Amino acid sequence: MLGSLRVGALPFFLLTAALAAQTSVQVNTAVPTGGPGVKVNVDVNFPAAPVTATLQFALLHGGVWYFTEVLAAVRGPGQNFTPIFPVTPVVGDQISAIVNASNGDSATSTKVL
Amino acid sequence: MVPLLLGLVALLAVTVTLQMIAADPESIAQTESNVSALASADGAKGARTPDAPAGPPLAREAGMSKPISGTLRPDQAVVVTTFLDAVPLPTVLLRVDSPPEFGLRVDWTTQDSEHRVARAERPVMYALLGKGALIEILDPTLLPEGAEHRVDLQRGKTLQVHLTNVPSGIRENLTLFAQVRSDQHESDYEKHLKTAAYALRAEFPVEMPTDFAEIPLVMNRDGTLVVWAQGNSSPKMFIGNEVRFDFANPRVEVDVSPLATVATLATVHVTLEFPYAYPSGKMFLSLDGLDGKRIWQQKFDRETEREVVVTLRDIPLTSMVATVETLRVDPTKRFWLPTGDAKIKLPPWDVTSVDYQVRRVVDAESSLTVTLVGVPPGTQSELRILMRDQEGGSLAGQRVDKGSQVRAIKHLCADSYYVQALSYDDAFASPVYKVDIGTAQSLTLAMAVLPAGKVDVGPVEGDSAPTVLDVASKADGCSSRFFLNAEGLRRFVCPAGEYDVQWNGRTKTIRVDAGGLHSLNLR
Repeated sequence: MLGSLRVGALPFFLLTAALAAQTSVQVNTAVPTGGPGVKVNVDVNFPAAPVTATLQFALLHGGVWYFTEVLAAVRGPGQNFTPIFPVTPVVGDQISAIVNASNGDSATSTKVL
Repeated sequence: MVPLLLGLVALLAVTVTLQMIAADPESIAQTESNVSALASADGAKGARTPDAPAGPPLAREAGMSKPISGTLRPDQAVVVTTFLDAVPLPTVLLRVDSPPEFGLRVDWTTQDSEHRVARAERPVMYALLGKGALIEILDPTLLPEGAEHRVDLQRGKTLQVHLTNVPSGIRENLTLFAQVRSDQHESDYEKHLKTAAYALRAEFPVEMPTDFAEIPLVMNRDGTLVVWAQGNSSPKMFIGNEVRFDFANPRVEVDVSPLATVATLATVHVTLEFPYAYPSGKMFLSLDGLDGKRIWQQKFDRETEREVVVTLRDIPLTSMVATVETLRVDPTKRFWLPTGDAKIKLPPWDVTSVDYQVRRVVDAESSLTVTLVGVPPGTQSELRILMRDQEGGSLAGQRVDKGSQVRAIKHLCADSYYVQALSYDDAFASPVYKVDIGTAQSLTLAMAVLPAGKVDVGPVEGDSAPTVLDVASKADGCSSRFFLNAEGLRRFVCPAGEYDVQWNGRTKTIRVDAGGLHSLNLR
């Protein structure tokens, strides 16, 4: 029965529920601190419980990617972090936020400093 | 038959007890938890009546499978008992010394008012979690001598949240959430506390179908209550007001009227036309407000198609700048990261209707070849080219390869750029050059790299704060443009020398020394 369902035939509420359940991350702002950190403001979204997710930051500096440790992610917008890297981030570097959800979804977002 | 069964059960209990005594303390704790879970699936085991004795029991109650505390060696384990308001409180003992990843949560079926805790060495750390109580961090290295240790937990509180000025009909398209964000302090203790709070899902968003909610507080902390909305047809979130609360008086009123600006949202259909092979593969389409803050970023694919339509839902009706950025899969093949190519900026647009259509051509066939002149020996590997657009947006730094003094920057769109060469340690810099690049044009630019100094600018807050500084060299009159953006960029680097700095019709003279860090007060 399910195999015969076409996407166009899906009820609207199912379609919207599927869209709203996506895992996503948005880097809103990213500013180098002048030291080894970057002040980052992110929105993190993933489906509600029982799904959990992790958050990680990566910095592209001088052609090399540097990754932070993996943290537990909490869903919500406007979250502030100051990830620390082994190099001094500068204007023109790129930072990525990476969210991996326990349901297998993942998402990234990038911003040029 | 019945006496035979009772005998078998008794034999089994004795066997299990003997095995547990022989095992190491941590194994015992785990086994006991399992026994507790089996004994009482509703998690009520260990609960005491309100008139129970206030002190920790000196011996086990008859019939329990655990050995009495007196049989423990003090250097191995301590029986930790948990109380709330002088009454034994069942708690969960949770290890919190590593960052929580997937699945860290509290298993309430293991709660008990007594826990056998080994005197472990760092980094082992525990939290005691009880319903209605604040989180208590238990450091096993600080457990006192003796076989028992009593912990009196503090009672938790509830934050009362009242929403005011809720925009009419906002819940038709959006879901409102309230979220506690407790103040944080930098310490290991803080990490443990936050890990325990995460396990309790204490700072997760709470849906607010009505204008009132009560949210448990599990840390003795002041903090911020954030109210935000999420689109019902997309994962987009819109942050509203943030209100401070204090733990002593946990009640807040939150004005939701700022979210009225997102009560009406648009679906934007962006038709991207690709006249050339580049760019292709996975890409980001980024929308940023005119203040540089991100509105949304969405991944899309293009192989050889001439047109790709990207549909973006729940977009605010406002002005925005769009850029296209190429991606590549990371070495672990788990996620997508930027290739590092310069972002392709598209002409801005204003979303003026709820079903908005816009078309843009993605043409990045221009290029700029930069030749660095006067680079001191030994600094070649540490230089980068920074390109900004006319609004000051950074389009990515381009590293100059080791041993080279030439950097070809491909795949630029026709535009005016501000270009500067800088060493990664800011010890060397060129002036800022303005370059106008036409469609499918290849330009060459020679840039003088000189010993440089840094200038910190302040204050730049407020509506009248300058966003642009024009810095003219007194030696040759050449002017460099630096941007002070809303994201807090307050430093520029320029070659040593004397300059007239102009902003908002005012001028100040500064001297920049090589290797120096200077302050420029705009007041």
